[in-house]
Amino acid sequence: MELPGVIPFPVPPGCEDVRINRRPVPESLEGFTAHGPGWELDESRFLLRLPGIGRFLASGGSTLDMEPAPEADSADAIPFLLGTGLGALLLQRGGLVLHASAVSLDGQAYVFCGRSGIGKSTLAAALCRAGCRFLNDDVCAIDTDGTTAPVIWPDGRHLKLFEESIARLDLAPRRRQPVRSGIGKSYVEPPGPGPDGPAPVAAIYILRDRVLPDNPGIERLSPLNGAQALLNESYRPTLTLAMARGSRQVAATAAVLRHAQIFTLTRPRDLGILDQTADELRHHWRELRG
Amino acid sequence: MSFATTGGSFGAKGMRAFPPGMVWIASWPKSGNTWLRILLSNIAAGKDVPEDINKLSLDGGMAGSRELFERQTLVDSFLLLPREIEALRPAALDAYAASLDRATFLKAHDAWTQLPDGSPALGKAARAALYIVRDPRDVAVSLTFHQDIPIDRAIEYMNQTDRFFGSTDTQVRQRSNGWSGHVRSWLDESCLPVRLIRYEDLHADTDGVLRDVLHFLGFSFESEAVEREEVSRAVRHASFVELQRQERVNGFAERAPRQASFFRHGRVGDWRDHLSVTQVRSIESVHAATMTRLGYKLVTVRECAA
Repeated sequence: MELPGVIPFPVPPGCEDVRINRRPVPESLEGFTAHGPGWELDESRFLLRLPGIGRFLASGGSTLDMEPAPEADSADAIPFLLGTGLGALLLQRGGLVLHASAVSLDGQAYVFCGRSGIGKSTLAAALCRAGCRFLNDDVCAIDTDGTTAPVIWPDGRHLKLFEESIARLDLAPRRRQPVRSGIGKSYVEPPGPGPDGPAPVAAIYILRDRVLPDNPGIERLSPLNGAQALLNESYRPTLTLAMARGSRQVAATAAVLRHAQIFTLTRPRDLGILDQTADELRHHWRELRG
Repeated sequence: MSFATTGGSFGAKGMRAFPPGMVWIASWPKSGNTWLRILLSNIAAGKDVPEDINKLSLDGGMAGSRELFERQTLVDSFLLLPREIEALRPAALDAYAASLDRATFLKAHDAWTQLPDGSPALGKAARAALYIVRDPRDVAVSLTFHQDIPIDRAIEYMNQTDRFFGSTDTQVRQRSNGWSGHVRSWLDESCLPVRLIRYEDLHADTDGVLRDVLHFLGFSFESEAVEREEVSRAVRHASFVELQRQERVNGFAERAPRQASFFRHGRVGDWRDHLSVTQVRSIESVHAATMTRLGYKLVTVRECAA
């Protein structure tokens, strides 16, 4: 199966981290424990039904199944497999999964959370253009083992950007396939140096639109507010709460709060200030490093 | 201060709570929707100071919110085509309503429409709707200032039935049906109790109309005297002077990017100072029946039956 937006990487047989299958997916999960419009979950499986697009099943934190709708182009189903499907699979593993993009600089990872459309991917692209390494986009899993600092692995995928952002950042030569026909987004090969392995999380920023005169710039959150923000900015909070793995989730959040600081980053909705925001962030990182 | 709870009651934060359930506050844009929400929020808060217009106590939000949609469906709305969003939205709104344990007011600019299978595009879970309507000639003027667009474009927007609101980075698209189609859809076709509120009536007798709205919603006070006192306080705290003062000092989150101020005038009959005869005729010729039905006196065309 071709996976647009995924960077090929050779893996020895038997060492796959996630196995993706195109095969029949059930209409429903018998005895599901939570559900919503178009989705159901039980102890080990998550089912997503999108009429006219396909059905998707994440199982045991290791397997993703996809059955495109008969009338659909299977390429149209891939973004949902690698979006909500992969997000659910990562949540099944019990760690902290954020709705965020992430980059690294000098071996430290920086994470940008926020609602869809707020500019997480565009900011990551701007930072990569300024010399950062791209780690991930949209779904950001933080790996915590309880002893060492939480890290983020590069997820081996491309950025997904709207045409306006591609033009603003002069990234047209790096544009690859459309993410889906008709939605105006394309995969974009990240600028900047290539991935070089996992990086410990240094700071997490909650992106906010500046619509009021107050609170522009970067503000640190208290640990309590930071913990609340991590829940709010988790990948699909409804799913995170429904799949909460009790102490593992709490331990992962605590580990992140021990090693990383949480900030709000408030800026106007204006692509024209992207480079300025990237400069402010790099200045902030120098301050954090002391 | 004490008050009865035959309909309303104390909420979790010590505020007054409306009877539980989801209620639409529906309108064509620039028709007084925000003012009505602020009035209701001042009732709910029951405080000695005006509600902060950027942090209303009233639970609710926007019916077209992408965030609401994504929280329920778990899907990135930017990956979906508009028709795919429209197909999923009723279930998303119903699931949201089912998750609520108290009163929630959702601002809706959608017309009341049906999906191809005949089911309501806004779902079936709301318990009631407040529909606020304003003289379309004043709406055209207000829309012009709000969007920073020429008046003729605002009129064109109101006269055409195949246009949409929203489709922004925070909102999914919402069907407009044209101004008359929007009014008729809510008053004649929706399958839930609808209270019609004319902006002009709310402007002329804010206390009286607000009391009627509260009765419609099942919110009552322990006595008529308390009701009058509390409604009067809420009206004072949501006066245009107060709203303008707050916007001047703190800004307002709902102000459009190119808009000088959200709370501009709120005057009734402002169109007389802004519209040409041709522009008035353009509105009246298309919307005569609905305007007549709602009591808006026509000046360029003959009145006609709705």
